[in-house]
Amino acid sequence: MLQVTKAEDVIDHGLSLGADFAELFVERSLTNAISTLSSQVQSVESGIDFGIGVRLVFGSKVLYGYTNKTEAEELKRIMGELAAMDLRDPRVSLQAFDYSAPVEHHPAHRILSADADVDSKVAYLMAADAAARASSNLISQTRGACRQKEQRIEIFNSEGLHTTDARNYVRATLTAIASDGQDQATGMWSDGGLLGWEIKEQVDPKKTGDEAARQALVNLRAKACPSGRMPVVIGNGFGGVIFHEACGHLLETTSVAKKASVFHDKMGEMIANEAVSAVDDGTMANEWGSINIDDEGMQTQNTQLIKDGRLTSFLVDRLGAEQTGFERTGSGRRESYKYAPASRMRNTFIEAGDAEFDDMISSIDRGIYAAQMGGGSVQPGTGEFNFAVTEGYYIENGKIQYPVKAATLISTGPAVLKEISMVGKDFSLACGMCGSVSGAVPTSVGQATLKVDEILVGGQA
Amino acid sequence: MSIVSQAEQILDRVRAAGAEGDLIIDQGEALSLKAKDGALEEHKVTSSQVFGLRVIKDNRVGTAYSEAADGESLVALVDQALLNASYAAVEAHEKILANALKLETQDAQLSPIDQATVAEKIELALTIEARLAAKPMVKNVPYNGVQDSVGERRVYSTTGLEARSKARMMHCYAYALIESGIRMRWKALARRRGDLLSWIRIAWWTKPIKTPSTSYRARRFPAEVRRHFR
Repeated sequence: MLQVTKAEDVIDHGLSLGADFAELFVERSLTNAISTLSSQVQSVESGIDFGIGVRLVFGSKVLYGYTNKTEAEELKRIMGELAAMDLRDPRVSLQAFDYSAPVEHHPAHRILSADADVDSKVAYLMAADAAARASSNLISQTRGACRQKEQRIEIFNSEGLHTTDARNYVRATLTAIASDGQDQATGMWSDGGLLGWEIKEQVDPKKTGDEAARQALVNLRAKACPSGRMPVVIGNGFGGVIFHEACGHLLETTSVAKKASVFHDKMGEMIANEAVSAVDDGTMANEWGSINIDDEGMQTQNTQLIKDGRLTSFLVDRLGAEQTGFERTGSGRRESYKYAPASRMRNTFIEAGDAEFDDMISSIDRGIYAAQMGGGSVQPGTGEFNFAVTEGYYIENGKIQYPVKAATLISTGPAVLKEISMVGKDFSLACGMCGSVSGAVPTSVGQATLKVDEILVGGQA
Repeated sequence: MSIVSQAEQILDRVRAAGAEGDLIIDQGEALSLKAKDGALEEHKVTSSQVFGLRVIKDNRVGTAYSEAADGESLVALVDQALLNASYAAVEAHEKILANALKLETQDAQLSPIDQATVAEKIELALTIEARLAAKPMVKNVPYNGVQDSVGERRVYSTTGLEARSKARMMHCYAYALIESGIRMRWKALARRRGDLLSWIRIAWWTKPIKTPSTSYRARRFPAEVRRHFR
């Protein structure tokens, strides 16, 4: 996307200003978004994102700029303005570029640059809509969305790195609204991955519609949730959002290096119940949070974060490695050329255990089964959180009794890690978009169903 | 290829498809500085160029955008907008106005040449934070910054409209955290002036702070500054 000689000229200019490290991140992305409402196409939108991110490092100081233009003069102008207060004699020389193509772990076939497949995507969303409406006459509305993105990147740096990669993302979602004339409730189901529209061969629009409608109907008849400290069983898949938000972010060197994380000095120590092992894995084939290389050009890897309760690794990008001394883990990620990379998660999850679901439920006298989790908020550094339960059930005397609504789980990440006593076998992943200092990046959260012995539940009863 | 030629190429392709349309091309440059504890926390330099196209065909409206300016991308821009329009509902009232005006603003008035260097703007950002942080009862100055941007917008249509406007905007602000809570101490806005440093006077940040119970309000600019907003 950028001529090698031009990249060489520009990076050499950056080093001539006295930078210790210079990098160009070139990106060209195609996007297509289809939305449906009321069993009709509401909009089809598309665009081409293109830009070049410029990063200069002077000692521990990082400077970042970007442009949509490709002229060497413009890239040099940006470098010059960035380095205005740091100009000094050259410290390092440009290493000759050594091109390396990453190993393709996530092949994609029906990619956006070949065909947007709008008819096929509309048909999928309409089939999901029909399935949801067919499940009950209480389903009053559906909203569908299908987004596809093809991101091509090229990275050059002053250490001789030159590499390229292509990432293809697709995600389809249906939200169903149930109404009985007095109350309304919603349910949602989403499928996605790091692949092309061939995903439609792997997913079933009827299941998407049925599941969205089922959640909405359950919530429509849900009772008020009791509140107080009690054991909670958290469902698989998106239930892993709690680990992601309240623990995963605390393991990123972005917060560890600043000593802003409660885990910054806990390497090698027990930070969780020994039933808990957790990883951040970028290698899982075609999973939503996977990558071939990170946005600094390093090959991705499977990083064991916690093993049998003990902290074994942080998530480390280039800057984080320099600041903390830990080895890089291929975790430097960014939303686009508009952001400098930072240490970020990929597919992050608590590994499956061997507990049975029925054993978890039967071990509880009074508690909650949080089958589906929703959004929430987290205090950076401490991991204090509150998350909404979007599908929940009251447990009494070892049995699931009835659905509850408006439940909230409140605790801290470090506390919850120590309260997880049983982890099930039904491991699954779920797609999400994670927002942080380097923008919103695709990440998967996941876990098997697990039991937390005590957590504060916010409710209305 | 010039911007004007690129615009003609895009609109010719729209006409050839039997559609009408209008095109916005935004270009800009920006500098953003933020200070924290006497050092720059943010020093961002950016420039941008984006094409936004709306087409109307058979009373159906479609849009698309491109940040890439190569020929292949601009062809794709038109084709995407036309494809998107084909899935839109009929919208009888959205039209491209029959407007063939040639419009242009005066760069000398709205986008004068900037006399201040980047180093001077950095010094300004650091000084704003330092002066306010040195005040009694001020714990820190968590939100502050100096921003300088130039934006140019061009609008073209298949009916012959050609419009161009370019403007420079400069913006400084600083919020202080006072012992009794967060109070806005100063918010300064400046625009349409070439020489930022000649009239953003650091003295404005040196007025005495009142008691913590006082509700701080942004002060008005001196008269010689206010007239530039009219």
